[in-house]
Amino acid sequence: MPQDHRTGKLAEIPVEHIRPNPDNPRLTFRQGELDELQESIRRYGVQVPIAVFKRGSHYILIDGERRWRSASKLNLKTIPALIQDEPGPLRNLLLMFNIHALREQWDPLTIALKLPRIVALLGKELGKPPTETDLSSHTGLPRGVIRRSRLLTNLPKKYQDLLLEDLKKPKSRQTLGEDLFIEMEKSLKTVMRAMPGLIEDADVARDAFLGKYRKKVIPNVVDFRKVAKIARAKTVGADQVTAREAIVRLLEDPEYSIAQAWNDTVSEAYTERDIVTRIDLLLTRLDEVEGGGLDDDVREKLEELVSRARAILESEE
Amino acid sequence: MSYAFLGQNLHETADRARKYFANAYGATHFKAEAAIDAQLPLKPTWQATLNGGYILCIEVRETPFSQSLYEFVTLCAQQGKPVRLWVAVPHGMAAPTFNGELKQARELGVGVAQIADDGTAHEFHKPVPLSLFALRKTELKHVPKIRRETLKTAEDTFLSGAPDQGCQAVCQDLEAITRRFAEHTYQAGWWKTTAGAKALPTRFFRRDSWATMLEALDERIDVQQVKVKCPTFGRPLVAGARQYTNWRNTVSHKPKTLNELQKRDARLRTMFEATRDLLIEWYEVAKPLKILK
Repeated sequence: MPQDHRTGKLAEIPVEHIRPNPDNPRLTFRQGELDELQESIRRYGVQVPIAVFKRGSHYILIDGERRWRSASKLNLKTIPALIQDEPGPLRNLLLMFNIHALREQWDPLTIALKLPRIVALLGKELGKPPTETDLSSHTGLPRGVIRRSRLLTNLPKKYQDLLLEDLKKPKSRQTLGEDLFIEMEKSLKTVMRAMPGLIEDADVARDAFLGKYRKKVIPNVVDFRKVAKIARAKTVGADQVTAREAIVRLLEDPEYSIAQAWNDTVSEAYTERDIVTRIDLLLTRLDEVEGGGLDDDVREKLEELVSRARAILESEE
Repeated sequence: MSYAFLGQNLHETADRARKYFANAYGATHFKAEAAIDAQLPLKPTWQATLNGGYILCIEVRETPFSQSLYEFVTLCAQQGKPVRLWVAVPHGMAAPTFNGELKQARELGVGVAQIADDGTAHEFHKPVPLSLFALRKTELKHVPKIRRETLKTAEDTFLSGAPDQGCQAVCQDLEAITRRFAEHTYQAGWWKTTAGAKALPTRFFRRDSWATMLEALDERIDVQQVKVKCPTFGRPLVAGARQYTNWRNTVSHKPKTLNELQKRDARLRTMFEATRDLLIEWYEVAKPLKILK
């Protein structure tokens, strides 16, 4: 992190004088994780000091909210803490991001909801809107994580709230999940780019997909990748009009699944492209062994391939 | 409601648990995530006041028990805290340890309720006030079969949070057995008599003051004669019973404060144990006379 760093003072501070950091990006704490930590603290005490800064008569947490919650739940009177100087708003946020980048990663929604503030504060400091690389180097997050999180940042608030509510539920009862929204948003972006004008209202499309996902017409989140591939029918030489109609039907017909749309449109074209790619790869490898002695196993497989290929070609004539 | 220490996935369960215990048990003065006592190693999700003066604690968890709860329960029992502890778990949790933890909770006097989404609850079992839980349990193998149910019921009543009624039950049984013993031995001619004294009427044994009757028994019983038939009999047993002749006063005193409740529970716990032990000795004495009913 490109900031100066000063070591704080280590002290035992009263648990009841500590307050959570209002800027902590973390939104959800699951009880299972808290229970495990609580049990560890009950047995061995707080082994890693929390990090705080002093504001008035209280201490504000920079790092260690779960340790503080567990210690407080266990009615501990004090907790070891590294007391640091009060950071500025940007440094406060970046400290928390960097600590977590090195340890357990936050949920993408947690990151997504704080990114706009970091972008604003960092933009002010840099004098220009921060790039993905800027964000990555300042927060310690990989660029891929930032890109995925941004899909959730740009999600309308009603869907963010829906997701947040879902994340608050016990894991066994969560029905949506961040991956669903990330995959759905990626596919919608591709559809809108590849087939301009097809989706006039993205929320209508989102609602249609969510409805299907809940009814298990879309059985898993990875299926959304096929929607993007249908939208890019042109790239594999498939009929674009048929692909367009299939996507419209996907949005309008509640029983029409992505798997059906895939089979009705581009399945064959992608299979053919896959075969061509594999044959190209095989030919490249064969160039490497040409002239050399062939192993019996390889010879047998090649003969099988030639015979299968000939049968296919003869049936086509 | 916003909770400082509880995981978000349990907030709705905690809200519903509060409503359920307010409606079903009339609990009032709810406080969230506060310490009951500075020395106790847990702040339960909820604490509230129950009608009988006990503190209701509700710990909202994903599973019925944990080591933290074990420590909390043990300390509460040792210190005689008048706490009824419930664990509220959400509906639909199926941890592999669930049944084992449920058993642990029951054995330690912790109630467990599963809170459904509509606010109703399934109570697996009810809690025992932890101030009473340290009670030394009755070893039923030492109790004649004919009296086991009575004694077990008295103990259950005691542990269910009505220690006064539990004590009342054992004291009443002690009174009944000593009265029958006195009447039987008197009629058998094992009491010393003075010349010209009037015979004691049946009423004296059955309805007159227990204290007066025990006093007469103590003074006039011929221990040696009784010992022939009842070898375990001795005068200390009568003296022991005489300590409880004013048991009604002892158990009827209603505590007004939490401190009084804690003291009363400790006193009644000692009383229950001592009376019950004495009663078991009396059963042994009375057995050869076939006066156990």
